[in-house]
Amino acid sequence: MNPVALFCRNCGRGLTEEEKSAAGTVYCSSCAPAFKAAAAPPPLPSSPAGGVPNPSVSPGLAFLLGLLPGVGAIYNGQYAKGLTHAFIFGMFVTAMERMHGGEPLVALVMSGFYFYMPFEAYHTAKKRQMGEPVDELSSLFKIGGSPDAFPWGPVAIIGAGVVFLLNNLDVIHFHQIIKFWPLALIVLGVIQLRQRISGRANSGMEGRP
Amino acid sequence: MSTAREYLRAIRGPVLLISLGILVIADHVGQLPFWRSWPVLLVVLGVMILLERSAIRPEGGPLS
Repeated sequence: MNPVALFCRNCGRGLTEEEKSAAGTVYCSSCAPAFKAAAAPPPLPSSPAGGVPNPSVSPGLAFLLGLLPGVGAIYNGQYAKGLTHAFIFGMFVTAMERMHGGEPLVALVMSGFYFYMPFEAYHTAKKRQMGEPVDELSSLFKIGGSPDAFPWGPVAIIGAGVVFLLNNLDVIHFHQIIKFWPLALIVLGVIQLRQRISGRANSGMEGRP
Repeated sequence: MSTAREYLRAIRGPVLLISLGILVIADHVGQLPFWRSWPVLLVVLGVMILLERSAIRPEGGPLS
């Protein structure tokens, strides 16, 4: 029996020097395949779901067009998303004009959104270039996401709709709400706190597009 | 693939169009000007997407 060089990390079996160099890992030959499969990154999305890479798609052009609200998404063939982007941008401009006291916040969020659009178009174009299928409203709403994840997208839309409706019907005006914008920071903090405390195990899966 | 989800996605456009039509009629009749009522469309869209999401059963929905 050869001297044991190391022990398999999974099952604890002793590994000899030859076995170690043959497997190339810290797992024994019976455990290595499973762990390699688990550790290996998912295969590059070169052609999942039968998609064909499309080299004529230019992410750079998508980025440039994305500087015009909505046009980047239209370049990617996502007309509904382009419309939504243009609409949201228009809402920001309107809010900017009508709001009294909340302009710095609106300006910040608006510029963030303005630069979000070209980058989003760039990444979507990149996906299309790789042949990955893109949803009409991809990265706006994760419709096919895990069913138990909280549906932030739709809830945000409904919330925005309710706020605008209350304002337009003269029930609660923007300037009465905008005073409480730091509440958003608190909510964000609480959400993160909850994730850090409870969801430690699957924190790596959060934020996957 | 859940068929309820496909169904809900298919009717999303028409439902929004109908809502828009109702709001514009309300505007023309003079009861509720459209500049006041348009956020209803946002709420309708949000509810549609929520329904679409809730129609997904874990049994066979593809990711993404």
